[in-house]
Amino acid sequence: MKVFFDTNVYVAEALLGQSATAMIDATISAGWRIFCTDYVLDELERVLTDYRHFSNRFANRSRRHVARRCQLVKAANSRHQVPKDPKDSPILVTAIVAGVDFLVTNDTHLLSMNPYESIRIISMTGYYELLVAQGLLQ
Amino acid sequence: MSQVAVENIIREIAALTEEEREQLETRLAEIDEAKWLEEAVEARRIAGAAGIDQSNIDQVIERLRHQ
Repeated sequence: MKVFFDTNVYVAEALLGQSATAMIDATISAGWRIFCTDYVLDELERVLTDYRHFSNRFANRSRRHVARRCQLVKAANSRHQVPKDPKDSPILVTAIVAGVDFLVTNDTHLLSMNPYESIRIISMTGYYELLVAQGLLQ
Repeated sequence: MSQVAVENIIREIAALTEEEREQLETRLAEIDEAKWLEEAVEARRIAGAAGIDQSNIDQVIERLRHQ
């Protein structure tokens, strides 16, 4: 399986741990491949520093932490768009370019497009439950 | 660390074989990962004290994505 995690997952991993960490670890343990893009990594850094509680160093280190475990994909120009919110389009396009099975996000505009072509767009909670149902997470 | 010391390290790195360079990169990544884990523990403590939860994270991402 191939998975694309939206920024929600990585910020949650850094700041909450718990289920976000568990789902990423379970994905890796299952041998599923994780894809990412600079758009998400840039956003991860921007969100962490926007909170002002956390240092630029931690934000930058979080970026490297994510990048080490994924395959980076470049977003290309594409006809695919998120009509309700064009700012979400790079996420959708990169997921398509990577050919992922799952796009995990808590973005309501993206979730409303599920399924999109062969991609299942699923919330963090939904993905967690899917991993549990498949016996990949307890 | 002084600039001279940094330059000396850079020279030593430049003299490494490809295999040694890969070992160095792996080791540096391990150190970076250990540091991230340490810092994440503290970040999660701060996030908990600040009341940051998944709903808040989702809202912040939504807001920043549209700035």
